[in-house]
Amino acid sequence: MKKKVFILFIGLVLVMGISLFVGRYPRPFFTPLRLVMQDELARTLILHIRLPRLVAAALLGASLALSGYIFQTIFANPIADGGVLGVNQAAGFGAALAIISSGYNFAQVQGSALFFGIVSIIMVFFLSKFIKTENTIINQIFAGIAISAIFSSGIGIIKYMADPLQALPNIVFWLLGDLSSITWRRLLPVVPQIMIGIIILYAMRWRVNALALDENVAFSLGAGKKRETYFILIMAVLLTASVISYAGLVGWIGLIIPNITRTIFGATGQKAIPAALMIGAAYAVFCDTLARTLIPGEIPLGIFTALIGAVLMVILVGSGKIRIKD
Amino acid sequence: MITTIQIRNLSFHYTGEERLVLQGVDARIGGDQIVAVLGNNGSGKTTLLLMLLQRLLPQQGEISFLREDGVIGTHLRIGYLPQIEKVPFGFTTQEYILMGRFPWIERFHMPEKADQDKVYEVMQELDILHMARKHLKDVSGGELQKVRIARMLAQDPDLFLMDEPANHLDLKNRVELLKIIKKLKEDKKIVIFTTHDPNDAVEIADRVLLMRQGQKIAFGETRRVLNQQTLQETFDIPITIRMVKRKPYILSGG
Repeated sequence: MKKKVFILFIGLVLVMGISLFVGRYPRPFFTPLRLVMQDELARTLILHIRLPRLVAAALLGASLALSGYIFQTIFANPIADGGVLGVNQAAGFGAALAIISSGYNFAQVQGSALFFGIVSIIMVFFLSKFIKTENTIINQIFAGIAISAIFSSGIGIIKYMADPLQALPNIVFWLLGDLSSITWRRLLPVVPQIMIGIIILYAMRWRVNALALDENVAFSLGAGKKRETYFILIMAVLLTASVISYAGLVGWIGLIIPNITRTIFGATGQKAIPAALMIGAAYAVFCDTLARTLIPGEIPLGIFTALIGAVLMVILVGSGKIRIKD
Repeated sequence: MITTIQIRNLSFHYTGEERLVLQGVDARIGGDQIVAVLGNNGSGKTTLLLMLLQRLLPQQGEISFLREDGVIGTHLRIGYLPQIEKVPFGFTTQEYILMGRFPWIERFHMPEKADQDKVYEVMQELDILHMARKHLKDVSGGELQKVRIARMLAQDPDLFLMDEPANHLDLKNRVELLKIIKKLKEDKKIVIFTTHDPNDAVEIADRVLLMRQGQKIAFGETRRVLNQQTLQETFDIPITIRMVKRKPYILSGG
């Protein structure tokens, strides 16, 4: 067990290390260290463009994978994540709203994303209780579809009203979901929130298992108290909203990574949470490296995470590794 | 150490419903006793267990846990085996049983070797070690029942509340379960279980509580309380009692 996590850690370090030396400058794809040492521009580029972007991608992958794991555990639903439940769209709406009303004030964008993220998760809770098919997973997905649609149309209205010269381009960047304009200045303000969320959930990696238990059983074990459940859920929304506030709508990571983690490491938090953090980070770094190197221009990150994620998802469901039943 | 559970005039109805699920139930349960709660579906057995768990609070009456000196105690570990439960996906049986150790592990701590050992021990006792790595959703009904009982044993509570513990179990496992419950009594635990089958009660219970539509029909020592009249009243069908090897054997029908 320890060995598997260690291998994973080495893998993550390798992916991140290689990613730093992969890009379009000074030459396409890989640049050896020797060449970087000779080229001052390459050094600056690595430190001020690639490194913040690498950190941003790693935090994004780790956060989305972890929050996906939490959503799936709380909702007892292997195909729940911020995207399916509508949290992403809601946080996106919140951020877009802040962009048109405040320009690009970072604290406001984040606060607004978090606020609407929490609103949407509360809506999912109530709406999925209100929809009464026999299958709770279907109830949640239904609720998620409805909430996504509400906030997506909200985003549509904002786009329609936005100033086409200033706010609109900002909003459009966001919807695509990419990291091409990440700088240290833009990334650093979100790092504390993300680290708080990750550290707290990591520290609670044993406790979160209680979220998966039957309510009465959890009660008898002195666990799964409502307050604790809500707290954990809010931490997961905080992670999602913080990432969305700097990277936009990057989908599929929260859906696919926890499922991959579960098939390799099992479902218990003590194993799944560290693994999801590392696999998520490595996956996002890998996708972002592809996004910025494959062609001379830039392909939005969200396209790769979705493309690869969807293929993996089909394989996992098809091979019976993910079973969607009550 | 809690030695007595006192149930006084307990009544309960679910919010928005007129019907009383429990009506003035009284019972006094001593320590190291096995108590069987008998009754048809809808007699209020499960509600009573949930109230003992303190998951539901009574609208009238009270349940008190008394220490040896008669003072009300508060510290009591209660284990609960629901009749039906939502089992988590993705967990193996062993991982699930380990969750029984929750009350023993402090916040921000991880399970330790002692917890793993306890899980191993109960899995051995229930003869389910061979399915340790199987997923909960892949085991049969009887196997899952044993896994759930193992989870409860791993918790090692003072009071065991078991709702239909013999459900899904074949004859052999049923006998094993009754043995395990008897052993809990030797370890000074209190066990309260519900069952449809009065013969389970005859086999192991020190006391029985007979219930019908939320009301107590009788409560007391098993052999004294279980007779044709009380059983017919409880189950609403004709009952015959035969003596088999000096033990009463209860049959439905005249």
